[in-house]
Amino acid sequence: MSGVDWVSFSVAVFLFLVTYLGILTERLHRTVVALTGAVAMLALGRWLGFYTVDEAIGAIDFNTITLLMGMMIVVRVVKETGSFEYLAIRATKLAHGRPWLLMLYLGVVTSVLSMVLDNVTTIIILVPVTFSIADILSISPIPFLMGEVILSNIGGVATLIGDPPNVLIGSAAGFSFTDFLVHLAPIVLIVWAVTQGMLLLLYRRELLKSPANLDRLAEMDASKVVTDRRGAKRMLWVLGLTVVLYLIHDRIGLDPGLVALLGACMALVWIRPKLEEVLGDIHWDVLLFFAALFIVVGGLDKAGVLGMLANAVAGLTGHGMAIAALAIFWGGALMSAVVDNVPFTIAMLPVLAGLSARGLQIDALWWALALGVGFGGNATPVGATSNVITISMSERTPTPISTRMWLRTGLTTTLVGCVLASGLLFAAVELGLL
Amino acid sequence: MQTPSVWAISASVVVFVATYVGILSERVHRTAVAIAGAVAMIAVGSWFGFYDMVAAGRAVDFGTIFLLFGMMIVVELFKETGFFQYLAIVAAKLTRGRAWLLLIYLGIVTSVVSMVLDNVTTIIILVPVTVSIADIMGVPALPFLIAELLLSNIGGVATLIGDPPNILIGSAAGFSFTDFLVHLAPIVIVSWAVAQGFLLLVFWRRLRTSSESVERLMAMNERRAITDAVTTRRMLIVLVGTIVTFLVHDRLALEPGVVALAGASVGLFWVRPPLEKILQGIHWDVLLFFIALFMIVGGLEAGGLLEIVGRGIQALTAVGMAVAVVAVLWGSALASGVLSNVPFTIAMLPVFKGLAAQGLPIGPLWWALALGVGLGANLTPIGAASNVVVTSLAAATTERLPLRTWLRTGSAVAVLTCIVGTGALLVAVALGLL
Repeated sequence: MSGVDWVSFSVAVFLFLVTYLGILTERLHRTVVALTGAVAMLALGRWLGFYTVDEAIGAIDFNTITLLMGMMIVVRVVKETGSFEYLAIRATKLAHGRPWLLMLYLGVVTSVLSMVLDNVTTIIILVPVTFSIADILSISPIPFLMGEVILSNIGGVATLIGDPPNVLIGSAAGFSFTDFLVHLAPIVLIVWAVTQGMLLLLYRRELLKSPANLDRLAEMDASKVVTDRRGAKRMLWVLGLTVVLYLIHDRIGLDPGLVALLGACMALVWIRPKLEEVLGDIHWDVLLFFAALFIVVGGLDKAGVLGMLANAVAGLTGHGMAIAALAIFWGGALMSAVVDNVPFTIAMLPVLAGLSARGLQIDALWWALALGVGFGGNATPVGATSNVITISMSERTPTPISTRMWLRTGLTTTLVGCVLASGLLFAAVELGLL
Repeated sequence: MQTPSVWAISASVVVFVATYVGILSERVHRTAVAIAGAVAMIAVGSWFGFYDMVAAGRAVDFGTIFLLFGMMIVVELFKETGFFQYLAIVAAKLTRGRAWLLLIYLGIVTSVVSMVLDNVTTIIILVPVTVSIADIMGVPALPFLIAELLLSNIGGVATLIGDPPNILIGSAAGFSFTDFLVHLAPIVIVSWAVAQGFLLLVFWRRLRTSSESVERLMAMNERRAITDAVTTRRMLIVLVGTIVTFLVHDRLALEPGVVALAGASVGLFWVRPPLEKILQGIHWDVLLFFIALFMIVGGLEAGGLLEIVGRGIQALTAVGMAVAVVAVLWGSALASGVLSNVPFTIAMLPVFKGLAAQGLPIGPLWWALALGVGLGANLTPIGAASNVVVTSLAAATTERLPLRTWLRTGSAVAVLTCIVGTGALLVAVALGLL
């Protein structure tokens, strides 16, 4: 990029850093910080001439926002039918009330689901079930929640549709569903198994305790907790149809966000819940947080910061493909730990596409990017969309997840996972497998 | 612009009409219907190739949404402090308990305030005060709410910044603040007096107060109403700062929406309320309704219907200016009753600019448009953003505002004031004053 204005550049970087520090310190609600950051970025961008309101609106990925909102509405309507409690009781009985076994089951279910659904949907559906399970057994839901988020972020990396960055990368690089499975699934599988083991180890104290309520569990009748049978049946249809539409969305030309909204409309019009109540329960703080964050990152982009970063990455390819792949992997992991991985991926797409236009064979770099942003998102509470949602949901319960709790588990598993993955990546590139 | 296809026009019109029938039937919440309509418009548009998610996102006027959202947060922060009750008691004492006098006072206050602030802000600030007053005086709040709403819509027509459509028209036609005052204020004053008299007549029987409630009122101590003096002082500073910034916003190069957001984030930062609670108080149904409405009207425009309307107007000017003026006034009154005035005005701007570019003397048409969309906003519950706000607030706080009541008051006032406006415009055109 030519002619970077250094005042705009440093102002944008400064605002971005202050916003992120403000979010991580947790002194104020992260949404308030993000909102203020967005307003400041807009006002200063306007005066310095690097950012306009229209550009800020353009920077918001409405597909993500509508996807979130649609699924939140659907899940809220399902919740009222008692279906989540039903699932929770069945799952707990299946595990005979043993927490570590439950953790394993939930981990497998999460990963499989997040391979076909995006992580956000997976998490929004599973978290209420998890709360019910923890409630039944009177144990802390936090180990389960952390396990689900982290494993869903890892599992999603394996498929084209499992993770929003993968959708972006797939469409930019022209990779198919099978391409993703063949190239990434083996690495994902290994990292997944190691992470699952680490999670069991990290939470061994909580998971090996025998819950006090086993007698109560035996008495529970799963079929009795469904309070609204007709509603539950209808919502099953809605949910089923929505998932089917997700799977074929690109063939019928509908964005995932639109599909989610379609599901929400079906739920609202068919079940007719009290709209004010449903809307009151939506996690608006999450939606606003993302909208504001997109605006902040958009300002960073328009001030030329992301472009400069990208150029630096491009310079690396001169040192050999394996080195470049590793640099992109770690750069992607580091960046998506700090920035949400979707905006970062969006910023990287033109860089890699540009390299490929110069005639370089850069498939390995695309795969490195997908792995890096996918695994790196687990490191911090703001690294991936599903992290923020889980935290926000936990804040409505007596056991909120704090930044420190997150870092203890997230950072450790991410570090180990990334070291492992970069070794595998290096080997695969050197052997010419990628 | 390409020639609109018959399929695109009819598809967009069918979706549009179905949505409006759904909204007016009041069987399902209007927001659910509007979202379903927007989703259908995008789906149909993608199918026929005239509209998609991106275009729908662009059709949303986020300036209006930000403005609504920001002011809602500011008012929500204020509500906890008891300041509105304080104002209500002071105002009620001034009237010595005479409800009809209160209606006049509130009417004057509303109109004056809505000349300098946009109607939505005016209404969002005044509604909580009004509900408190009515509560104290033992009279139904609905007559006051309706009167404030209708009079604020009328009052706002008089100035450049009083009404969102005026801001749009002013910037498109290059009219100044004084232009608006000179051309429209006389007509607005007459219309205002007619409407005020009519409303007194309609509501006369509901405005009786019992002597004991008057006694109770006069015994009240307004100072006791304020429960949190520190927050009140802080929020007063925020509110005044926001209003001053509104007045000079174009000199600071900040959009009103950004100003409102800035006010909200300063308030959130300074007062530090529990964010979840504040966000639950936001009228999300109103915000979503507008977003959906903008998307639907955007589809109508993309489908090509509005272009046909433009050609119609062009044909009319050939018949004679007086005819064209009357047609534009009534046409836009009717259309903004159905489409809501902001999206309608946005859709009409290119049409009018196109006519001006052909060298037609269209000054009178601009004024007819401003009067039509401003006065016509009172025609239906969705004619303006503030109508939707009041309908939603009334349902949440006091009593529902049924369509029948609206027809008897709002629609009647709209027709009356449009007749006044037509007469005045015809005289002005005949004398060559416009």
